[in-house]
Amino acid sequence: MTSSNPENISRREFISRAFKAGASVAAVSAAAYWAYDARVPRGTEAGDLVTLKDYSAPKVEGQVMSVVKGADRSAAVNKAIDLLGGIHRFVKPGQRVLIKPNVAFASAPGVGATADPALVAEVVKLCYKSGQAREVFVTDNPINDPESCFTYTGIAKACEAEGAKVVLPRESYFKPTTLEGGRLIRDWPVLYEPLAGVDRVIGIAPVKDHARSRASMTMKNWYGLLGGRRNLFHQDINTIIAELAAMMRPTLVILDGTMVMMRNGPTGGSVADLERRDTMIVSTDQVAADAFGATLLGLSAAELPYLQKAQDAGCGTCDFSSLKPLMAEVGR
Amino acid sequence: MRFLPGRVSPAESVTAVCVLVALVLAAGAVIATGLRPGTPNTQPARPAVSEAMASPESSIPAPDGFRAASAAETYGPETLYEKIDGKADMYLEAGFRSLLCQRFVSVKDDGLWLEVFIYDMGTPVNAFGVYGQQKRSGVTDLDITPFAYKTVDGVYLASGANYIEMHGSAATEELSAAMLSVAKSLAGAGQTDSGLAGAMALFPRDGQVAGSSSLYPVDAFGCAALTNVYTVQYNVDGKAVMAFISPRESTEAAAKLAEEYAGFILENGGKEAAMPSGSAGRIFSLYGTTEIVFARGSIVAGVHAADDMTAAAAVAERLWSHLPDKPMPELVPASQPQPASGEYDSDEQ
Repeated sequence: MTSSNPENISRREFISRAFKAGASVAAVSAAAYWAYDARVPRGTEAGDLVTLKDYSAPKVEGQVMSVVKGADRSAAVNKAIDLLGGIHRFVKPGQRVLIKPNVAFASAPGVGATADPALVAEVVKLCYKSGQAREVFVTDNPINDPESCFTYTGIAKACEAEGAKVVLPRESYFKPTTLEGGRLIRDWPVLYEPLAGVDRVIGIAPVKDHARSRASMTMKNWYGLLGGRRNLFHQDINTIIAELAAMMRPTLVILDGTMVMMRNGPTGGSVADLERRDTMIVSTDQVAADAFGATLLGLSAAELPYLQKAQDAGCGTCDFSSLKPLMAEVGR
Repeated sequence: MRFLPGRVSPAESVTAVCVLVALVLAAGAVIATGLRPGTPNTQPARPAVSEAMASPESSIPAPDGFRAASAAETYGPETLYEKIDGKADMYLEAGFRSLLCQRFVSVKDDGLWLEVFIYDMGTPVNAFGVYGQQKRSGVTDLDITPFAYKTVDGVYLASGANYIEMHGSAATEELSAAMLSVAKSLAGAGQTDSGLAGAMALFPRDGQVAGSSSLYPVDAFGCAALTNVYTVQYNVDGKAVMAFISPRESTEAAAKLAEEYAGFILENGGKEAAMPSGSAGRIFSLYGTTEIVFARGSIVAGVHAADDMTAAAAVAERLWSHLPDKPMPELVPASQPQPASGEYDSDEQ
């Protein structure tokens, strides 16, 4: 032993040193385990970023936007889609469709803070029965507890009754994305997994007052695709709404102006905040749909800066009348 | 441990110290990075709602025939957006401190539920402010507190420093009765303070539209200088007129603010007109509406956005006569609500 032990340490010394070294390694490992944050998404290499597909349907001149008057949402949305060529134009047999309703709050369906459950269910039915979709998914990323939001709004029950699969957001469903030319959506988590495998995306939103952006409609509805501390974007609300419109190129948007939340938005809380407008807007141009929707709140497109920004970004037109919207009435 | 003299050279000692210092610096950097507010991609993909703390110890008593659907939740200024999203700004700017809320479900019918929101606004004046800003029209006033009303599916009141809302899942008698019972049990907690009552007493009662009072803590009528503004609607021969007052610290401060507000009106397109003979203050035509402003004692007062100039002048005249010509600094809140700054939270769709 002595010949192979140049420092001439004793067995006791050796064991003591070995124990201390082991304890040090264990302490460092424990500290690393304590500091490890499993929630942190993967790295930010360019290869990790995802880009949302273009879900838009081929354009048809003169069939970009329809506006149907009527109190019956189901009849109105059916008529509005028929005017644009029918659901067959937008959903082909065997396709997978994702519906993104506004399910922002765990509030009662009647107060207009979220998409109407019967309307969303009607669109699910249309996709399955007339469009012969293979699968229809419904998702949103509310900031309140998603399960409560889908339950108390009645959207989960109504959609599942028509055969849709309700997808509640999970952490693993989010992937970082960067909007080309965007200033705010850069390396930002987006609810990607439900979008990744579908062929068509349909947005459904109510028309409502909004304390910060003045109006929340179809473009603002895409906010529910963002993860992270997205509330920070409210410092620049007009830019983020315009960037959302640029990020998401949907097949169709459905803007429900049947009962419009005129004040105390976006949460509302009482039917006393609502006024009847009996208007259903369906469009392949989300900017035009929202520009029309603004009029239901007594606003012009010029009073909503995000509309102009979105138009400048090539997302659509504020001048909805230039599209010659197809008009109709039902149940009158 | 056995000490081995002469085994470690000075150079080795220096090297060891340098390595240790480097390790300490690296550890410090790692910790500092971890504590810094995250860049977007270092945040959880979905912020956990659990940041709002469940508060079983402060649960709201369930009304008869209802059970708690979950534990009560509390939210602070940093997390308020998680509950009410885009409306958080309004509360934060009005002095919001905390929110306690809980949902109750009918024991007979799961489809019938109500949710109670208790906002601690810090002061009765702040609570009245958010109450007035959100008050619905066509409602039924309640006598639970001086500031309380109900809609077909909700109950709303300011009680002490609390602003309380209750939302029902439907417009039913059962839910309405349950919300009223909760409101009554909560309303005893606080009374309107003398400052708020004193300010409201400055408005002449004749012609007041019941339940039309409001408070704008900041940025009243779009003017940043105009804070702590109380308003009341009047009905003058079928014409609606909004009168306002803003208590200030001194007569001089009131006079200065009145001039500042008059300047604001002019800068924004107002045209000054001649006040009716014998009336005090300044009158402006602004895009077809009438604005009147004057200072009396330590109160800035006037009329805002009236459609009819004659009715506006009549209300201003009555208001002038009713206001005391003496300083009333006791009506100025000890701490004025300040606009939220920095990274406050709001979120919604």
